[in-house]
Amino acid sequence: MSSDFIEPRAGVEAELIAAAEANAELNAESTSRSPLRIAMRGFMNHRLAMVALAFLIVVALLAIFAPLIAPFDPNAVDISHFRQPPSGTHWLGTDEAGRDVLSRLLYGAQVSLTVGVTAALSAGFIGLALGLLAGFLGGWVDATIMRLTEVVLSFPSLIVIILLVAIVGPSIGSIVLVIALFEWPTGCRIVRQVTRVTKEAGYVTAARSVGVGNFRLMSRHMIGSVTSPLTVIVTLLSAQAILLEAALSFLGLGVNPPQASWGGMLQSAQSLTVLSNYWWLWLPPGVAIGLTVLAINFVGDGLRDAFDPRQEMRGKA
Amino acid sequence: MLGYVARRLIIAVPVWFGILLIAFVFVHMLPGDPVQMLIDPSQLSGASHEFLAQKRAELGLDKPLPVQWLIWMRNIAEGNLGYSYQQDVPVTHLISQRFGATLLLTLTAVGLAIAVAVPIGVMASLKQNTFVDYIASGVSMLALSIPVFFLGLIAIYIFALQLNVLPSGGEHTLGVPATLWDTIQHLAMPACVLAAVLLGPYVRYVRQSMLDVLRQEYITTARAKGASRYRVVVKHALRNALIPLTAVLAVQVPALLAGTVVIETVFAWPGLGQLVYQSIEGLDYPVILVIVMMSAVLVLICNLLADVLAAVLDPRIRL
Repeated sequence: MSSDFIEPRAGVEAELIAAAEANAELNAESTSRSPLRIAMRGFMNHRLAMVALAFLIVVALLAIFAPLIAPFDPNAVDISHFRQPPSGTHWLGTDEAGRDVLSRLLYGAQVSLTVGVTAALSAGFIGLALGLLAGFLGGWVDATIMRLTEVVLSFPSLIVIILLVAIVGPSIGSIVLVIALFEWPTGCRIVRQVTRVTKEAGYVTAARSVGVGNFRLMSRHMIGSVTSPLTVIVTLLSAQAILLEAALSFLGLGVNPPQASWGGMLQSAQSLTVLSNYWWLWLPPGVAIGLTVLAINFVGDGLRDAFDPRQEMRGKA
Repeated sequence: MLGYVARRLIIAVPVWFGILLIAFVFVHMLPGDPVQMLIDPSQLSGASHEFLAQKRAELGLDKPLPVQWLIWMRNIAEGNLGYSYQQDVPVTHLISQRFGATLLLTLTAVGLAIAVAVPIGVMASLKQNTFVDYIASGVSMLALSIPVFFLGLIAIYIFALQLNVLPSGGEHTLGVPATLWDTIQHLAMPACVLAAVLLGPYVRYVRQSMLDVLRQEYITTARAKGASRYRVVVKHALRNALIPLTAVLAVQVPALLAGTVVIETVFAWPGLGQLVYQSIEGLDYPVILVIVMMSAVLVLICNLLADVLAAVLDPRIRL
């Protein structure tokens, strides 16, 4: 990970593995309480996570219904009204081409959320597939996949990401692809570890002894124990992906203009004149990115605590 | 332990080759022609076909890719890292010029972040689930979520544009002999912003590992035999709690040195990050390749160092 994008939770990997192991033990001991129900209740009790989730739902609705809500066309140029301060008509003013900042902010949410969700899901999916294979099959498959994660993690990611985006050309699709290609190893390592533990569980041995094949074992019997840690990882990765997209757009490697994106809107603030005189051009998108990422991180934290059966034990102790 | 180190180094060789190969392929896939980038665009139409071909042959770009790869690998083995297309100086020269600036920025930021994060993390763990703890995790969460360039812009807006107490960018004032005070003033903002970004994970790390250690039985023993609270916390607990942090640092520092592209762009800091970004834009193949190669070596060495360090600090770990 490059400096600008430190692993969001350096310790989260170990924590999630421990939690998943505890879950596996719990499953083995009792079937009276569904782990999902416990998790749901745990999450609901996490007040901050609930507030964050509500905030994210609002942001998502604003993004989806941007065409209905936005007061102006986000790309409509109006040279006679450029860099107007916020007013009754333009709540957040206009930019250097006279475009309405509020409308661009709403449309920018579409880009950020799309990139965040799709990139994180793709990375999670690659991690799931390779992690299952590595953990379940072991041997040379495991060794190869682990070397591969090392190669990916050894790259100074932001530099290589910039390189790749320059190769495939900046667009939403290429950003999603590149982020997915570089963010899967965390998920992969956790899935592998959890799979190795679950593989030895009684119910898996039982399934195997009645002749269930490898593919079915992986796709039906292992998925359950892998889902919860992977959900946490995908949530945290989507925060990471939104930050990455913003940084790339800020460097001018993001979505193509004139399409609005939060990072791209901040790009104009690289000029000191804009920075000092036109706060409405850069403050709103910056705050939007910060709040959205913060909310996703809170939800990720809430999920992690909810999935961790040790939290409840800690509470009692 | 020596055997372990040797084994790891041997495993690292194919990984390193893989990285070099992938980097080489990527660099040559960049759209555009590096030879044309060398010529002033206004004269491009006038540049004769022969001249372009001659220049291409000079740089060895006329040979088939696999041959170029072999030549490059041979040069590397001989210690020749090549010349920059754009500036016509050895790549090593360019990199050593920039490395100092990045090293200064990175070490200052990491030092600052540790100096602030360790006390906060320890306080949070001692007062678990109190107001102090919540504030600490709130602050670290905020640090994790604000985009680094936005934080940088806010800092410039406040300290350079409104208060006018710090310069907005660069490494030192141009045209004036460099003084220590001048450098410190220029370093202050980028280092603090980078430190703020690093702070988040460090605080969480210290807090979590302190909590784990404080639950251990030897802490109870230390308390029972009457060691002072300070002694228990600092000598017994903190020493062990910092072991995972050293591992994080060892893993993180090479990535930091490879370039903090965003921060260096925001603050016009003349470091490796800016160099690599400019090289990608200018299709300066040798420079990009050497920086990627260097950081891959650093990462592999530091990962190994992290494991060895953990074993040295914690005799319970056997390699």
